[in-house]
Amino acid sequence: MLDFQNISIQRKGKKVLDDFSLKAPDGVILALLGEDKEGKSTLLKAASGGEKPETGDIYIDGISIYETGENAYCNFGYMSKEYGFYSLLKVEEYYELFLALYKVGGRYRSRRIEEVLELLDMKEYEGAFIGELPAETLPFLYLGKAILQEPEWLLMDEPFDNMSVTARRKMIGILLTLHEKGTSIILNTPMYPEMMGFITDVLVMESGKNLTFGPVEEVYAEALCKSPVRMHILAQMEKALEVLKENPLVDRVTVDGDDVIFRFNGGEKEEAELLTDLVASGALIHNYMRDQADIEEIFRR
Amino acid sequence: MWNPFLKVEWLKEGRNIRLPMMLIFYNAILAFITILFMFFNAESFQEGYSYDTSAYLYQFLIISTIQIGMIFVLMPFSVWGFYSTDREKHMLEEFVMIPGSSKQFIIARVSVIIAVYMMLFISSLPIISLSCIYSGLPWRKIIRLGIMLFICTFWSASVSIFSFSYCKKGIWAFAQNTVIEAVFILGTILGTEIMRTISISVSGMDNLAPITTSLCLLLSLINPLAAYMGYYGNITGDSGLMNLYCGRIGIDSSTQAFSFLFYKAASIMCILMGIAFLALAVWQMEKQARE
Repeated sequence: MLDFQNISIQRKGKKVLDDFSLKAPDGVILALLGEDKEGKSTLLKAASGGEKPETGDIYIDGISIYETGENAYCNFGYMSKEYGFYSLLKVEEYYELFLALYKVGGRYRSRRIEEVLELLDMKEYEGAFIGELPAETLPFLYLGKAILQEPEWLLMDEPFDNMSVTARRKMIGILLTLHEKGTSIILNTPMYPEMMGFITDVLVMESGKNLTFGPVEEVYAEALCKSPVRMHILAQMEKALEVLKENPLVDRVTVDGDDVIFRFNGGEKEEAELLTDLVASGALIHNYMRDQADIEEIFRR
Repeated sequence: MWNPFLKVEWLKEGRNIRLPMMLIFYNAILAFITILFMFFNAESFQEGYSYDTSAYLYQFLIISTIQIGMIFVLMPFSVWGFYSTDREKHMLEEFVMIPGSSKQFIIARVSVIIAVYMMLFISSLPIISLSCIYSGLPWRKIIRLGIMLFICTFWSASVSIFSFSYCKKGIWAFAQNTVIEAVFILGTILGTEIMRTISISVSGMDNLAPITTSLCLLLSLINPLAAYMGYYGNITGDSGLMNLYCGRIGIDSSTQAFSFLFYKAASIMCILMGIAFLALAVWQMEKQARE
């Protein structure tokens, strides 16, 4: 388990992470959601050991990553937004450098490089200069660097940025293979359509704080409940509005042409009762549905 | 390999167009000066004048001075080249996340820079040997010149690496590098001159007080060019600039003390200062990792 306990990080007097706490269980594929500059990248950097929090601590399986000293970084594979390469190095030389820095023995190094390149489907580029690689292979090359030491946790900062749908699918496939092998993954990424079946948990962040965290279905269900209702009425709009006005669980009612938009703060049963009342009032309701708003947007409201 | 950065730095530098370009231009400048000397001497001989052998002595000294000068001039640009690639490719951020790598990184970098400059020296050996033969100097002087270049390269590389580790913007690092070099090279000479003037004006005598001479000696010790000035004086028979400088601070440059200070002790001091700057560079890199 990766346990963030009350961590705070300041930059230029502004709190980037503000008393942030989270217990991420092993085996998750956790997506960090939220607007820009909400502390997601800083959280990943702190978890990788690259930025020590001013207060609080980060524990991996109950041991502080800062107490374990030099070995802590081996538990994390970090993929930052900006890829770090030397164009004049060959792919194998680049990987060898990091394997040597991770103190992986010489005999095992070439085997590991082959394994990683096979996983990434990049065997053909083993002896190629990085500067001559096609641009679309660079995110995969960089992912390879992050997983060289077989980390328990893979921390990825906007890994799908500027990627084509095909490349994104390929990357997700690789990440799923790693997940099957026991790697837990935390990603700072917007929710792309193809990620819905891939992410297991979601964390929504705002102003360096944990707004909501849980399994993706639960968080989405919660978000859906919080999203506004849009009702299309063909006739008797006044009667429908009267029913809505009388219901204490309804607020923020607005009329948009033949549509009525409102927020309902009750449970499923109360919502069914409201719908029955609306139909009984004689209003001719053609459509009743939740607005498909952005999950991050809903939690910020 | 105990330091994985060494191999990487070597590979990068070996594959960079910068190295052959440096070799070509460095040797071209030295060859041009040598040919110019030969041309003027031949011309003067043809016109009926006798061979001026002292001109040949200065030919070797001028070439060696240019070599030393080029180290201090070229070094910030070389190190800038290294660090701009690192920052452009976001490699420093990658390394600082791995504890203990800062020390290895700095050691590898200084080693490769020294190797490059020693390669420049070795490639210029035919030109230097020719000057040495024409000047009638023993070949040992070339070895001593090599040692001198090594010491100056180490000092200059350490200062540049420290500056470029300290400042994130290349232009500020370059400015800081220039200021540090100016303070240690010109500032120490200026410092001794100020101390000398104050001492004379306070005592009202022409001779310096022993304490002032000692302080001047100490200040001269931290000048990275002091060792070369000693070497220069040794070749020319303690004449010229060296003798003038020593005479002004009340040192008899023909004594053993002179030789010890300006050649050996100054060399040791130069290396110690280089190590101190490298330690600061490692500390700075690790500090940036913690921030």
